[in-house]
Amino acid sequence: MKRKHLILSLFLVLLLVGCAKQSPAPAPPATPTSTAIQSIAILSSANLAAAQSTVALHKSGTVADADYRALMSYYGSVDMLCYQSKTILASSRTDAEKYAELSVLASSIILPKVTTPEVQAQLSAIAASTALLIQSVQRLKP
Amino acid sequence: MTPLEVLQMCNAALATASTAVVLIEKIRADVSAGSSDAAVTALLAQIDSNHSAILALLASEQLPPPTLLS
Repeated sequence: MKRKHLILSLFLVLLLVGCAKQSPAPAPPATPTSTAIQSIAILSSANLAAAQSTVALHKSGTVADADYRALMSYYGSVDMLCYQSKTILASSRTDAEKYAELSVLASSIILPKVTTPEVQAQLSAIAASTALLIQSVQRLKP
Repeated sequence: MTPLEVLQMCNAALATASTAVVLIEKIRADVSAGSSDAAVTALLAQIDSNHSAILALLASEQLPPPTLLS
């Protein structure tokens, strides 16, 4: 009986070792650039969702024309921030050069003063995503 | 303890270990998900797609396109 237990245990250990060896190679660690790209993707998606929601709210009469134009202009600016930042991050510039350029871009966006409460949640989501981007850009700092 | 009972115990232990390995691998994959080349390429494509969607949205609303940030 003990011999059978021993053989069974040995078989189990060999099976586990075999499974462990077949594990896929670990993914590369996150870099400041890949983290920043993730942040941009999050901001870009939040911005697009906000723009689409604002268009719908304007069509329903909830958002006034003046607020609407200011908001759509803002979403356009945020989109350009994402697009230009993406281009910089995907380039072969050094982390220090990327940090210098991205810091200037991020500081050029101004949040519009809009009173429509239905839009406030959208703007808060964009502000939070922008803060996340700025935080990830800081990691590029030499 | 009969051989069958031993086998059942080993089977249960193996199932628990396998579940733990799967969970650990998933966590590792989630943490590193954004760093693989394929993941970064997908994110860049997502950003481009969102950019095109914003431009199309502004055009459909007859609003001016965004300008380059200085």
